[in-house]
Amino acid sequence: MAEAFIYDHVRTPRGRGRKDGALHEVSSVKLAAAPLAALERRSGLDTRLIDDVILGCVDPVGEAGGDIGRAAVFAAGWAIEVPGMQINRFCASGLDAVNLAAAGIMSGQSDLVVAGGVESMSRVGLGASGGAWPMDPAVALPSYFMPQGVSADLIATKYGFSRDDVDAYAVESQRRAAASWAEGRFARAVEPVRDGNGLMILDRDEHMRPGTDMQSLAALKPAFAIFGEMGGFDAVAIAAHPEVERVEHVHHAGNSSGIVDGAAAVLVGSKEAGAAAGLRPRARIRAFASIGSDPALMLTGPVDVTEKLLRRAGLTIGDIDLFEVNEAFAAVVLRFMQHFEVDPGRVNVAGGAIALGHPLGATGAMILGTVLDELEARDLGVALVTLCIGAGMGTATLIERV
Amino acid sequence: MTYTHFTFEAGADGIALLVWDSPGRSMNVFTAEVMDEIEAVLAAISADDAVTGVVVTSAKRDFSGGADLKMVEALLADYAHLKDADPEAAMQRLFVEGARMSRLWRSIETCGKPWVAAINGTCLGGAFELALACHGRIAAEGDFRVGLPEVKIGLFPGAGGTQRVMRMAEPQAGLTFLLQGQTVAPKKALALRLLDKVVPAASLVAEARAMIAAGLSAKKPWDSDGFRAPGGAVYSPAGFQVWPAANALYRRETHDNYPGARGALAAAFEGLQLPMDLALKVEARHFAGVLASPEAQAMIRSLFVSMQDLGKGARRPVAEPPATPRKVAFSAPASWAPASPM
Repeated sequence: MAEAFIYDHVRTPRGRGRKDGALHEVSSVKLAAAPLAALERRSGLDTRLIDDVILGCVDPVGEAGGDIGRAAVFAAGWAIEVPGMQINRFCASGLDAVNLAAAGIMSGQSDLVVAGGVESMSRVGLGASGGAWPMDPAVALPSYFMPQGVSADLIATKYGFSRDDVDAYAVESQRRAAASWAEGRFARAVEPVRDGNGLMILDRDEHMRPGTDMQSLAALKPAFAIFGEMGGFDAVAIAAHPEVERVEHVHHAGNSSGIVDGAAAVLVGSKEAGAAAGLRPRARIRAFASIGSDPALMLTGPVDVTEKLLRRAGLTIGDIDLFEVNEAFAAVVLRFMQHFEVDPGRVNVAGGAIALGHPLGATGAMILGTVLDELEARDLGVALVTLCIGAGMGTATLIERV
Repeated sequence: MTYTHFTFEAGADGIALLVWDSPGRSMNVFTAEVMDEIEAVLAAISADDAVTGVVVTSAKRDFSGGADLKMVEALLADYAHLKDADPEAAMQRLFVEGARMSRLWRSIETCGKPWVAAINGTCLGGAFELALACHGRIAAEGDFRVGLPEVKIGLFPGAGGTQRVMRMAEPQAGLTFLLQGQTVAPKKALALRLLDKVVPAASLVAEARAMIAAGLSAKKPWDSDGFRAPGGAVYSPAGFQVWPAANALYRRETHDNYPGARGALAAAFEGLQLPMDLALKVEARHFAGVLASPEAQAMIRSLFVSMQDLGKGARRPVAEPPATPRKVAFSAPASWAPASPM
């Protein structure tokens, strides 16, 4: 089997996902095209060599609908020979895009593939693509549908994370993110978004709130109590997990991932294709997996998929140097660290989505890039990237520096 | 024309009065024979150019208690008998026969002449579904209930009830009405938009006739292009305010142990996305599935058949003649003492 290597990765800054966010003026397609253009410029590649552009997008409707992969190829001015596709596994889409690219290369059917994702949450809107999961009794009932925040609160309740625990985690995420920017650790990954004339639109992550402390978070009311109590979703949570007598609502906007706009792209290729293009490989994609997990807990998939992936790769948790566990909600990461008893100093070392934001379809590719940069900066070898996923799933990828 | 269960009287104004009065019963109920007669009445009315509309009412104190569950029992006995030899044929028969009432009500709804239900008293289950299929519904003022209590005995309103309620009532109110098997006073049904009018009992039939004379349409809103249910499209921002919570509340109220309630929810959700005839077919599929469920069969047995027997004193010693108690004595064991307040 051929090996798949990461040659480069770029991301946009993450703009606040509202009408006053700096990236709100940028269409989904232009946002998706920005990292493609940056990859081309940085690699000097003839884009005709690229076998596919695979983009994750979670709400692929309206301007992000149809096939935004192919649309981004045109908007980036790439060769017409480059096809594109859009995939959706909710929050892991960006990482699944990379895994799919790697699968094509490992199987020998592709040589160079660009994988990543895009989400303009300010323009398209969270949940804009609808779907049967929350709506249709045939799906909603067996999946114990509830809003993700209620599931996150169920995780916190079941596994014993208090409001202080989740808030403290959020404070640390903000501290790490601020430090990463201050130390220039995102400098290589982040490519500013510019207008058609080259003028700057945004060059920094906009969602961060440096200086967030326990006192400022304590002022926020639990965001999901109303869904749980009025909407009947606490009863759904308890029906699935009767060991929980009541759901303690601990999550709020300050300890949950931020709603932002952003895009990312990763250049994946075979050893031969990279060498022929004069590129230096930065990491090998060693293994990847996806799994379905308890749909009521919904967001514990990172635990299940990591166990599956470690078995597949013949590794133990101790073999991993750094982890990226997407900070959808603080309890997701706390549960991961609790289950595997991993040192918090190895998890989300540059700060995560609580501070930086979670542009749904793009995040998987972004945090893969982040952890690769951190492996290099610390001269470490192996990292695991994983995300929790709506409806109870997890996707994970193991990378290893070369 | 003469019928056993109905009297039929064509008025000079072209409006026929169909009066239900099953002999030997205190309450009208739908039996196979009653259904046969309604079919015959409908055919006769459709063929008679002199008849321009129909008012249906009852000669008894109540309108009707709905279907005779013996009919359902017979259907289920038939199913049990057939299913071992040929499960598919058995289910096909349950699907077709279980939807007989649904088809009949739909033929009234689409017969081209306006029907008005003049509800003079209690009107439940299949009878209320008949009223919903009529083009107008007027109830008398009075201390009685109308509604669809089917989920309380493990079933759901499978003769168009789920479809018509959701096309007439606001979605939350309609779902609550269906899933809780509510029976309500006429005024409440009016507020739910399931009735057109509530009038003094003395003028009930006259009001019903007047409704037809005033030009009541024989075409239901949902049989016209561009019909929009009160809740709008299922897959819409408005629908998103309804269905996720409906699923959660269904689970909270039932612990997902009631196929009847679940069938009603699914039939409402799926049916709202379809034109009426197809919606009724989908409702019938769910109805057959619910009928075949052990939960529904056990609930019909315990909560209806056995409960009726109990009410009639089925286990009462036969030899003992009935007696009316005149005095009641109360004796307590010596150790008994009233609980002292703490």
